[in-house]
Amino acid sequence: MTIKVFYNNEPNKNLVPHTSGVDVWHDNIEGNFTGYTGIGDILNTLGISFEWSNDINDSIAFVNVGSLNHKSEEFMQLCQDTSDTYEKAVILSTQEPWQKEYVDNFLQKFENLFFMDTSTPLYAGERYHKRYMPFPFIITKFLSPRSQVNVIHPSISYDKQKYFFNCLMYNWRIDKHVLFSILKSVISNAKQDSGDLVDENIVTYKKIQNNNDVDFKYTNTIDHKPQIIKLMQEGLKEFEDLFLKEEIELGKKQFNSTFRAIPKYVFDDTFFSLICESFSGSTFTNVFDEIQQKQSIEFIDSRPLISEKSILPILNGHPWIAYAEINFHKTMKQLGFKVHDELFNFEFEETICPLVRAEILVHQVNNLDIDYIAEQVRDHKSETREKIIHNQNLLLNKNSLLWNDLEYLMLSYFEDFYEL
Amino acid sequence: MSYNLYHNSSPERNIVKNYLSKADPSFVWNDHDNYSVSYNKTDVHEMFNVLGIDYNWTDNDKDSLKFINVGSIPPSSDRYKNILIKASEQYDKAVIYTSQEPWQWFHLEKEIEKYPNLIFMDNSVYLQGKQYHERYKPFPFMICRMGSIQSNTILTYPNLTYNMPKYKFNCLMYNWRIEKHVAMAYLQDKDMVNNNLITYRKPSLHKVHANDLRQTLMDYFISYGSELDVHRTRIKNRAIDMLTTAQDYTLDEDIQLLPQFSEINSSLRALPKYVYDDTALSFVIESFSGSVFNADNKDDGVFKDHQAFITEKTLYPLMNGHPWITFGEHGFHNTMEYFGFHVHDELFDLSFDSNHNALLRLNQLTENIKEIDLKKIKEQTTNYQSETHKKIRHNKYQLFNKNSMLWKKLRNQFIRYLEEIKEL
Repeated sequence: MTIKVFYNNEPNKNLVPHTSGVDVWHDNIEGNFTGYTGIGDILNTLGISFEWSNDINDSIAFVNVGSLNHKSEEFMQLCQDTSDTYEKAVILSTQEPWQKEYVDNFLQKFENLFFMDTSTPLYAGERYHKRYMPFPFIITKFLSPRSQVNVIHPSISYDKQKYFFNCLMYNWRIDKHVLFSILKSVISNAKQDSGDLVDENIVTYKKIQNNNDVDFKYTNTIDHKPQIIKLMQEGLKEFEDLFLKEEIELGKKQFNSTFRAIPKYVFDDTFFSLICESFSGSTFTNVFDEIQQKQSIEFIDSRPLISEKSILPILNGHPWIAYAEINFHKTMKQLGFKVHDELFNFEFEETICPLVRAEILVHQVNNLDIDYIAEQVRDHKSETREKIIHNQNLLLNKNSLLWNDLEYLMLSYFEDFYEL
Repeated sequence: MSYNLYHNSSPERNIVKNYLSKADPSFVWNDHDNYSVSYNKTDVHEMFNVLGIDYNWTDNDKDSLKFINVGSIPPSSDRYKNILIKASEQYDKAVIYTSQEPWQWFHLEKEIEKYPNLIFMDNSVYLQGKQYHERYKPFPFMICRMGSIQSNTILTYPNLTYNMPKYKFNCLMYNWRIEKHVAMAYLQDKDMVNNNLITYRKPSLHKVHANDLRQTLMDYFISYGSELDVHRTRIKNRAIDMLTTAQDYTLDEDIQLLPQFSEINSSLRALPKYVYDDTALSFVIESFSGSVFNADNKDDGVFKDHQAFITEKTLYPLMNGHPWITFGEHGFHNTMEYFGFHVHDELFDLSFDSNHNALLRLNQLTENIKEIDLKKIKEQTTNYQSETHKKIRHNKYQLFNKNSMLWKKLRNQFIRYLEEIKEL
């Protein structure tokens, strides 16, 4: 099947100009907007046959809004204009996830529009809505040389670790602040007279610029632990920026958000990556699982977000564990990745309250047997190293299960588009 | 179908030791850190990944494919010969492999005969519809490397600006090679250097003397009949003179990863955007693999071992969507067409392509470029409905769409090779 992608100006250019508020990565090169849209590159990476067409009757119109805030008036206006202009069209972001309450509103308000954001789809056969098409675009971007520039280290060293883990949390987000606060509050078990987990590991952090609107009361659960709330609130003022001692730059140029590189020493010097993932705000409900006879999580709109924060350590062959949305690792497994359950206990990830989840995770990490971890990471025949290679292949082999599934998913979305 | 790849130490590591010396820590690209520590990596799995071929690593030498990566070791070196001797003794069957270099026929012919249990796979472009020898399996790995985020760090620009070129062409000839030097001589002779965007680096005096470049150039020109006409003689004299008088031409700015990561910078494929925005086309001076053809018999010009070499030099402008024309081995544009690329015959007369004489080919080509009107190219490139633009889009699609004709062709050919190797 060959898909026809609509253009109104030129092939490979967005249907709306950047002046409409859209913010597409890689569009602004050295201060010049080129009108780039990423949809062609996504289809190329997935291996979907397509042609550009300026006949709206036989093609799909993708309006790429990039990182335009989906809560903004500009976004709504763009949807309105698109709805008025086309019989049907896709509002696309290969960069950002949208939350259910907003998606619901869009779907209801614009009956001729489809919404495709950067989210992880529900399990097969569990689509939330025929016109909502979540897709894990960030994974796709990594395999697309036209979408971003990746530095994958040819080989990391597995025998020179100086620290237990790295945890990169530059650019303030509330989830990063939560994890940083807890790491800061826990004394490392690594050796006698250790400092806290931030001091004893490779951790980065950036202070918030304006802390007026920060609210840590995620759920009622945390009300029982006011000392953590206090710690986080105090941290807003007290924590200082922490940088890497060395960063990688590409010719001192700005390639807004499309240059993906972490210095090699971050991986060489640590046993594993403690990833602080982005939280997309996927919605779930707690249901009773009759088979397992226990409460379990059921996602409603999309599953946890998978971003470059997880992908880059995996591509570089580093063991990983993530502080992320609930059931993140389960989601990764369902996509074909192998999680490091030989190193870590993943029971924490079913904890609903994100603060408690972070707390359990941090304590677990701190209580790991460093000798056992070292043995697993250094022995190339270990389960850990086998999983590393499996995960790299899953991402890098263009005909892996992951890529075939993603291709199939995108094609099934297109079929729905044509049918509706 | 899944293939077993053999390792004798750990997966993704070469079967032989890569380390050469502190000054030259590895013959496999991207295989050492800033302290000259070699990881002993191999890259054959990177090729499987980018081709989408399923594989597993195994340390069981039964029923597995043994790829011995010899990287850039010269086939004339003792190191290379020793590897062949050991491989032949140690394994029932093994592939001597490089994804980096092309090997010349006179080396291959001897080695194929000498080691009946070795298969040779280099970075060359396989012949169309035939194979020189069942144990010689040339493959255009450079195309694979350009499609692999493991093998290269690549910066491509999503959309070029086609409407304000300051120059007719760019021609990047940094890092001295004889073909670049000769091309520079032609460009100077035709007064095409100063009005275009050109890079060139003259050889050091030490290199001129140590490698006897004067004699090398003389031999090169004479082999292409420089004594037969005044023009070729003039170019020859100019080229020899340039060995001492030429000046370097560099880009105003270049792109590098900072701080310096020598192991990654060797595989960084990036040029400043102005190289393309400021020029109407890329005049590419390709690498020459030394492919052999029968020029003296009725199969005139038919390649014997492999055909015209394709490298990142041509692929990079294509990836960025820039019109291009290449001085490569004869039949270069024909070879590109074989792989599904569209050549710019709407802009240029490509009849030079089949001329076996490199000097005549280059002369015709540079004349072609000199004659073409910048306005004509601009008309084509600024109109997205033009033939040129359609070809630009087509070529990008070939390179970037994982199920394009190019990738299907490469995948099928590689699988065919693997099956043949299993059968041998």
